[in-house]
Amino acid sequence: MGELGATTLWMAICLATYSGVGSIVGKIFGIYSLLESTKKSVYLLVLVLGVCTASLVGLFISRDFSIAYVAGHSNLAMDHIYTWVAFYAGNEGSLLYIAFVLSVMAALAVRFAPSSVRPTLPFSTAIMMVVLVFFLVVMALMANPFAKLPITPPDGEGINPLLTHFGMFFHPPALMAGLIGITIPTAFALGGILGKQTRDEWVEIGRIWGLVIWLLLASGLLLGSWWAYTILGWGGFWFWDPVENAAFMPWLVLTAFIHSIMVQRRRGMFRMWNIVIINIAFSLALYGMFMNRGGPVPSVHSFGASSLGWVFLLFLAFGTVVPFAIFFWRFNLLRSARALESMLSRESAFLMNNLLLLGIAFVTLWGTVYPLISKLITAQEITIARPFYDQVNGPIMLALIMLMGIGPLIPWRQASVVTLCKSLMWPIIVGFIVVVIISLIGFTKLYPLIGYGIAGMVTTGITIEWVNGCRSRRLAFRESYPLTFVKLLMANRPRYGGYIVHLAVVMVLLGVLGASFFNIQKDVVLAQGESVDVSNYAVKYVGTNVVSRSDRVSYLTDVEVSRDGQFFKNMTSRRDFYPSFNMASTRAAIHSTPIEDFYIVPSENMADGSVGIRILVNPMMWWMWVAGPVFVLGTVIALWPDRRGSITKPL
Amino acid sequence: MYCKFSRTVYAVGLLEARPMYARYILLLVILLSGFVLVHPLHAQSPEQELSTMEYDEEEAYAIDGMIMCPVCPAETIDQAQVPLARQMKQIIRQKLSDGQTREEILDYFVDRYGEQILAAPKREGFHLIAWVAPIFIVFGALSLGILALKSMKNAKEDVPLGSTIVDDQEDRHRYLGIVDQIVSQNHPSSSSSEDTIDSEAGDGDRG
Repeated sequence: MGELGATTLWMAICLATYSGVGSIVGKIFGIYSLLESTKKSVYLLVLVLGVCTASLVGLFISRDFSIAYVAGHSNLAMDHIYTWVAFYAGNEGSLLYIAFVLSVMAALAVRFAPSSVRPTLPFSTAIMMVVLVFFLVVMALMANPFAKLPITPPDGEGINPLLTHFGMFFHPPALMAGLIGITIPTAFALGGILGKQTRDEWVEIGRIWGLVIWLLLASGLLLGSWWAYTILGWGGFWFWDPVENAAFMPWLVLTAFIHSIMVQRRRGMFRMWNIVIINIAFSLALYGMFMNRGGPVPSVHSFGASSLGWVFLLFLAFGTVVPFAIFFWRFNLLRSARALESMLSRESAFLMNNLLLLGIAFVTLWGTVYPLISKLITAQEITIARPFYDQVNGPIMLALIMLMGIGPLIPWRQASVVTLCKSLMWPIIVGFIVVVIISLIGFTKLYPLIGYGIAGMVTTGITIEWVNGCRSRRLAFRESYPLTFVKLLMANRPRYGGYIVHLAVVMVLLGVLGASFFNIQKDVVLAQGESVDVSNYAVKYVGTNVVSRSDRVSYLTDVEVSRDGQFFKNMTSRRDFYPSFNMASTRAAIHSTPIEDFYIVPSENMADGSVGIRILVNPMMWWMWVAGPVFVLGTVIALWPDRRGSITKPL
Repeated sequence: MYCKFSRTVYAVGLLEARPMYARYILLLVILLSGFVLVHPLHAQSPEQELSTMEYDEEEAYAIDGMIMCPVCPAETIDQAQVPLARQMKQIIRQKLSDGQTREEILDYFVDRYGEQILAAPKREGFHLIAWVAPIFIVFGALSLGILALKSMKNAKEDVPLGSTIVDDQEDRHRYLGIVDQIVSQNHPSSSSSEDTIDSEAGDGDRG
């Protein structure tokens, strides 16, 4: 089966090269049959890489430890269900995964390309194939997943214990798919301008792919936070780790993109800007994969450290310079269809939103590269970690979320100060009331107060939009309220889907503010029967059950929790020690409610039977995880195709 | 605090009584007073209970978040659960109860482990650049954006003649757009009310 995999890998390289070169040649010399054939070979690539992927999965399932990758990332004790995780646990497998996903996306992109981009599709295909060939060649020459070991070991080394978590089934694949997926809208944008289609041909398809990729990245990031929260055992969810940042930055830029593309869709403006921004997203995505797959910085994501770094660095340079070169080459063709009518308009608000998002992305990038700069200039090793990003990005993010409350209330083209103030009055009043109420309750920290005020403002703004929309629909159609609401959502999906996503952002904000500013953390060592008070909870350590497995020793710590002096709950948290990795993974016991999470995790089991545990009370965390499905819902509504074609007319 | 709150309610009540422009001025005042209200409250919130202990746990916890764990990748000592991190946390608490300040404690760790033990460089000397650059990045971007918007206001429009695709429908929309524009210039009040309908009713309905 290993031979099958290695063979299909080389077949894929040949096919992808043929598709790329063939589509350019066919386009330039007008050879129709060649173009058709390259299309077919793009579809065939899915099959070939599918077989390649299946053969690696087969090797894992048959536990063929003669294959170095299988021996390095699984063992006999591993549950078969973790094959999926083991598949991308190291460099070789994740490269294969990335290549396979890209081939599937490329085939879908080619198959479902709308007629407006057909004339330039060969260029777009060629761009996708260049990226695909890069990954395939790196895999074949430098990180072959089918490489054999000289001697077959009796058992494999096993999977990294930190990866054996439910979140790991989705977090890495979603992020990797999202990062590589940015190739598709970039290819449409660049293909379009290469073929001198410099008006709005690519906008609709670019928006759809942009949203899909955006959702993949958003869910990947949230699932990663959830994984960190439940398994890393420190009770936090985000810590500006270099690799987290590397996935966060493209997501930010893509967020900017899915907003600014709406301006081009509705108004034919921002034509250059959208190309610039998708190019930036693409560069940052390549940077993200570089950090993750050959990363030079220490991170909790150092699962696949390798010597691939310089190859990725070269491709990163190539992937940054070439798209911008294409952009500047066609620069003078990218003129807006319309001039801006007013500085106070939805268009301007979108541009400001874009700049703030890019601001956060570049500040984050600055934080990541600054230690290198410092080392070069002052020869001093320094660290840029969480406090820096919290302090610098926090205010920009609040400003951005505030703009999120104002922007949708500003009409397209031009707004008058009077109408704007009218529509902003209630949101601002409610935001202000929220601030007053919260400060009267006794929470008086500045940041969260502003944050909660903004949350109240945004929520009110969206509610008012919905209420007004429903009202005017009811005047026209006389339907029941729920039906009116659903029909309203369906009438302008990009817009009302966007509002749902905005609500999800508010929910994340609630979680972040609660857990960062009002959390209570206590690290204690308890002997059996001893108890400790945390906030209004009391925790009594009942005992630890030790269970030995072939690959790990599990310590199940039982505690009895009482709240306000009354028995509340028995909770069991777990700590697994993996001797072969000399590594422990923890599984926190969490009682989660919309008001607060009660979180308990063992950090060390002492020889005398006492246990070191960390107890946390994290207010409002629940909202952050619930936001995930809301993100999905909103994006799906925004994406849902309309039978009547595009109904939102250009303004 | 209660007094300030009632004053706000009074101000909101005034909104109903005054003419248009006065409302917006009041609104602005309310907004600004919001920030003024928030600020002093922030300063008045020391946790009194903690002072009975030898050290301020909140301060200790804050310092934990500023020091990297030397043996774990990219984690501060409040996150890390290794014994070394625990010892370091113990040292911080010891030093705090000895009456040392945050600065002294941070310096102590810098002396032992070098600058990279700090989770973020100090805001002094060369490393001031790290902190100042983000401000330049954001404000630079915003002012560039405003310049870009200004130039877009004066931009020549892309004339579809001679371009590769002739889209009748788009031309019609463009024509209607120009008509709209002229109409709205002649009747500014009618244009603003149309915008309100547009933003309230969900502009997709009319497609």
